[in-house]
Amino acid sequence: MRNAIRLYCFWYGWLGAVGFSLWYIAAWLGDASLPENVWVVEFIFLLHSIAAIATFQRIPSGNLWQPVLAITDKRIRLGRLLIGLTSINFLVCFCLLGGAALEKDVSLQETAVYLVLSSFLLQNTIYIGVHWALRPENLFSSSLLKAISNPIGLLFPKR
Amino acid sequence: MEQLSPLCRAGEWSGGDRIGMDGTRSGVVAVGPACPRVAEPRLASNRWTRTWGTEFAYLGHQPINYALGFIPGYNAAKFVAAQAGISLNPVQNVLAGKSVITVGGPSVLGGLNALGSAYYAVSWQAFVNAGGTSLKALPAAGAITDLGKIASSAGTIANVLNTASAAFDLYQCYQIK
Repeated sequence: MRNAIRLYCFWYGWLGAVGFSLWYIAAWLGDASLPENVWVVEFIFLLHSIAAIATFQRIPSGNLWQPVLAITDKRIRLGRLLIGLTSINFLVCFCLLGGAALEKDVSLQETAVYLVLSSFLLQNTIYIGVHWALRPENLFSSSLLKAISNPIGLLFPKR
Repeated sequence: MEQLSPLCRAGEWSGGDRIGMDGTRSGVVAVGPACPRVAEPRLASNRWTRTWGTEFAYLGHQPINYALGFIPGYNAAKFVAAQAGISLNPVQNVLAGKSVITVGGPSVLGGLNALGSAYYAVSWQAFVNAGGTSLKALPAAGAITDLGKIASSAGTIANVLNTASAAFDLYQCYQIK
């Protein structure tokens, strides 16, 4: 069961990244659209949320899952690069939306909403793919993982 | 883009309260008729297949709120901020507070979500104080204490509630189009 979850999340991440990349490109080209049927959206959301809940499982110990891929320096650098680039890309799209709102440019706002959506889902799926491929323990520092695991804990003094 | 009728009552249009966390907005003036929850006629776009106006923008708002909900404590902080009249809805704020849809989302989900999130944070910290430790220090599942299990369960419940409320909002968003 655990292996099935691991592989599901890994493949959802990478296949989803391919799909959302295409949607992102379509958004730039002005051809993006949304499904007409809400249940199609809900189904995609279900697939995404299964992966998200498994990926962002709140568990105060680490290393219970094994990475899908063998860990190499090159893969770790590539994984960090992909997460960084897609995160920056999302922030750029988000700023574009803010700019469109400030300019009251309705057409640009519509474009920007698609860009924000697609770039955000692209960033999410890339993260999920990299997360399960290499595991965050190998990607990020221990202090960052501790902070993101419980930001509220930062407010409490350590004994 | 959908325009707010000047006859609509100020304050009644502030939507985006997907899980009842935005609280009562200040400046609500109960003068004039409330805005009907009926979509107004819109010009057809020659470029996009959907022209939902502000409801469309909600689709940019909702997934980001959903993802932020996975950050432990975010929904608890959002709930507390909402009580002080502060909205932590990034896209909605970027869109100059323009309301998206008036979602009558189940407030109980928001409250439970915030509770689960806060409980997770407190029990996680108790777990750390009780022996615990950097994330890499624990070698195996067997080393997880009961506190850790409680924290994990509370966190998982919070994540599931976050997902349920997001699914509900997506449905609402399509119903109002």
